[in-house]
Amino acid sequence: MTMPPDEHWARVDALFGEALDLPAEERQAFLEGACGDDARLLDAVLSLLNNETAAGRLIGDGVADFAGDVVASLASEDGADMTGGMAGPYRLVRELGRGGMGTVFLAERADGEFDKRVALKLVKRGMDTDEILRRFQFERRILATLEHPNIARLYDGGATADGRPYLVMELVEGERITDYCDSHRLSVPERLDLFRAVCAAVQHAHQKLVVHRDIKPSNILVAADGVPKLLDFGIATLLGDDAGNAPHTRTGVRLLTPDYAAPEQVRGEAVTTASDVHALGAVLYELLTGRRAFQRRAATDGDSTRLLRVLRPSAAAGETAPDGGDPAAARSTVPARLQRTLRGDLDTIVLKALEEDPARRYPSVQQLLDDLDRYSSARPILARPAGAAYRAGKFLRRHRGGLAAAAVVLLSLAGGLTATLAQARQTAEARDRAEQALAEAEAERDAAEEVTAFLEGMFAAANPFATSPARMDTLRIGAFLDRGADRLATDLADRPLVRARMLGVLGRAYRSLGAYDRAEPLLTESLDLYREVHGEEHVEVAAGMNALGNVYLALERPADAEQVHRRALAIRQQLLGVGHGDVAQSMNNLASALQNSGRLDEAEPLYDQILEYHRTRQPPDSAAWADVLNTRMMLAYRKDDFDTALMLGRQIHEMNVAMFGETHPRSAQSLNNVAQVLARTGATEEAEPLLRRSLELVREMLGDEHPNVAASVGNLASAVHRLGRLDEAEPLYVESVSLTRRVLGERHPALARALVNYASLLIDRGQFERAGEFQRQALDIERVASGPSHPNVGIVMGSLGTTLCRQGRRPEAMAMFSEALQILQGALPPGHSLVAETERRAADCRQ
Amino acid sequence: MNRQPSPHYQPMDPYPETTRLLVAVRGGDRDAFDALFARVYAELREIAHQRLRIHQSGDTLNTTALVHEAYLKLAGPGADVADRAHFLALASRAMRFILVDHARARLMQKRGGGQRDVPLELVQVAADEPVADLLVLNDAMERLRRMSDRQCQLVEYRFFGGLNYEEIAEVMGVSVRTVKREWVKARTWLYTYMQTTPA
Repeated sequence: MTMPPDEHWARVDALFGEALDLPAEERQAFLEGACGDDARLLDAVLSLLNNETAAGRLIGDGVADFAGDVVASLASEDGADMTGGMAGPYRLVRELGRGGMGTVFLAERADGEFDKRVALKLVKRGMDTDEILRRFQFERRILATLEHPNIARLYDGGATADGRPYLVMELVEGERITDYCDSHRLSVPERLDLFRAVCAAVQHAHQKLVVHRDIKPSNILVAADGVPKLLDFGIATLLGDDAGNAPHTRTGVRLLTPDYAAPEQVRGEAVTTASDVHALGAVLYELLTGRRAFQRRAATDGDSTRLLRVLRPSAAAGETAPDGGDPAAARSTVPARLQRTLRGDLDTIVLKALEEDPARRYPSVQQLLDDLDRYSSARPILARPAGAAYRAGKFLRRHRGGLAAAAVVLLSLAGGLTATLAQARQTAEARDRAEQALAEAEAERDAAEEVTAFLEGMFAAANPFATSPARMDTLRIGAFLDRGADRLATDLADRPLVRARMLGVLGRAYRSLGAYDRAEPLLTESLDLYREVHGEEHVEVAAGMNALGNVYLALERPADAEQVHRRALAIRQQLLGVGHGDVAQSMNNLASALQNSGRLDEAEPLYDQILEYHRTRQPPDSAAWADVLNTRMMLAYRKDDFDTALMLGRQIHEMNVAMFGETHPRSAQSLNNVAQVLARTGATEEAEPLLRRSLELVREMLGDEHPNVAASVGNLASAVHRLGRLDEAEPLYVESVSLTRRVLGERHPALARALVNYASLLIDRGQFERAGEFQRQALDIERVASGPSHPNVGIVMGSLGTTLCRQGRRPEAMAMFSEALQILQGALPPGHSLVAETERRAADCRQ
Repeated sequence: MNRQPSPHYQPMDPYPETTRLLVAVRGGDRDAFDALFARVYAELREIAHQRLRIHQSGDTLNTTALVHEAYLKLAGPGADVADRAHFLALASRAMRFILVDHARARLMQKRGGGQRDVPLELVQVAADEPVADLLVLNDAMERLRRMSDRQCQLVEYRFFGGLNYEEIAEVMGVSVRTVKREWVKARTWLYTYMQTTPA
């Protein structure tokens, strides 16, 4: 026996051995005693103990079979001289690659029956030919039903003259998905698109009850046309890769490469669709970060060890790639931005798919896919990150007996739970009680979230802004929502929180459909319930206020909107701190409310804070960012700063198209805004086709009866009017007035705008009586809705003054102009074009 | 059947030579070790080859079978028990060498014969043999050897040679219980080293 050269190593090894001889529950105490105050020694032994199980899993009792196979292939040069040989009617043209199961050849039919080239997998020797062929006969019917553009087909199977089984598959020419993404420098959204196609294929197979069992990048090839294809579907099953055998007798390969296989697969337990979810998670992890989910990590010193654990993708993306490459550059971005993109939802989605316990993963690939869709359309995902409370509970459960000291340390980090649980730790009994309470609270929360998640998923289809629908049957959706609202009127009375959330979902859906009057009472009730359950200071209360405030904004009740958004902002600032996305959102909405109140000077300073937040924290291509820019654009527009408004408008539109595609309500809206700014600057000819396109899109997606359609029609009417085509403009004006009246009612400022604009045409036609009548109606609406000193009131008065003047009622006209100017000057910045315009009209009239 | 060796030819029956070499190896003869090792190495490959020609379907060719068969061929059924133990140890090392060499060769092949990586225009199924992992394991074993030669040898016997605990106890001259514990320790160290080897 040679004396180990490293004294420390020898001590660690000796203590490790002694600890192994003890029952598991005595080890901790023994080591603490033996190590004294040598924390480094204790750490080193503890982490070895920690690794023991995993080591047994990775380095099994033997690699016997694997070794034998390698020796065998070495001895026979297995497959290498098969090129040019035959497998049934197929001629082997050349070798394409080798896998754990055998060798794959490019092959073609020798009898010329088909001139199609195929991939032929020649199964390695040593496998049971009869059994494989028997399974093939059984499985081929099932596999034949797997017709999917993203799944490589299995055509045929048989045995060679010397008895080796082979499988014939669709030939796929392409690169591994990871290589393809890197070589094309695909961005994260582009990678997600590709990955979603893969998920859809796997989901298709799962519906046909076929589990892949071996999903990994080398089984997902992307052809030159960018279409990903999954190879080897069902092949693992066919070759009995893990059917009923002890893990180490299958392939040594698996034992040593657990990178994609799910833990239950590595352990040799039942393989289910959840195992494919895990593998997809591992592939997604690699696509996003450039690293494997399960990686060997460099330790800080030679003796300390690291568990085989999954780093959060956002953290992993910050590390240098194993090959020294720059993962951010391969994703057409910079490291900080890549990390920001991954942080949050993508972290949560990937880690949920990679959960060790199959029951904690997404229950199906479809749900993973749904969350990715939600992420891509900037809706909240359903997966929840394991929060501090959850982790604390899990930790306590795991270490029920010992490790009390460690538990205390952890609890002090667990935020809100600290107090309760720190008291509870005084006795083991109390701890158990706390643990139970925690578990119950968790269960209640989970149940509530499930209900909401389920229904939210159902309703998501009803929200045209949420998805990218080709065509929404808004009437049908409206009826669907009405049924939901009817049910909610009576249901769930004993579950206030679930009810509050459901009301919120319905209310937001109504708002998206433009049914603001239906949304308001639901969101009010939702907010009241949140307050009842949580009290005032709660994030969900703030979220409820935010939703209600947005309806007030849409109803153009800026005073109500301001009040609610201000309150939500205060709550969020207090609970979340200034640097939180929800705080920025509240600020933005408050800024909108202030703008709508005509208080532009108060709105502006808020933007400095919002912009600062977004510059440092948000990915620049998010929907939230587009919202901020939109409010900013509205401010510039209202302040007469059309250059800025146009620039921002174009930027927003580009972002929307990039994020949601052109056929999305958001994109239609931003296109309308660009056109409207153009028209306002006098570039009406340029604006007209854009307005028409926007109207077409918005009609297609939101149906005919929507406030956005009414606004679009009104804008087009004005443009056509300004271009001098009065006959064409008039029916458009009429339509905008009647549609606005239908969808928003008699008291909404949008109706006032429609009336005033129509009136301007009537003036040009000399129909002063009707014009004046409409203008007075508008003035009445604005005075009530926007308040007597709102600039909108000044604008309407200005146009009424013009009518009076043209009617020859000069004194009345001059009085009207003077009052209008007073209001406008008070509300708008000096030199604003509306002030100048009104002054000009007044001067014209005076002459 | 006449199984007597003919005096005019190289012995058809290799037993005496193997036994001689084994005795010499036990006595610490380095040259004897090399000579024996070369024989075992060649024999292992030959056995694998023959077995494939007969291709017994369903009968998996595993290390344990290979090693034991090689022993029977080289040492003969009547060999000394202590010699057998040493032979198995030696065969285990030969297995390790064969596998690691093979893994290296495959890795080179993968990398285009030692040249720069050339992206394949067509990749149907990439080679997923654990060549890299086997090399990582091999490196970890070398790190372990620097700390404990005994633990490293144990891994060789168990992991590469497929020897059972009793055989290893015999080779190493310790109790089965010690072998079991040392095996757990050794593989935990290896695992730990493998985690800390940059992938």
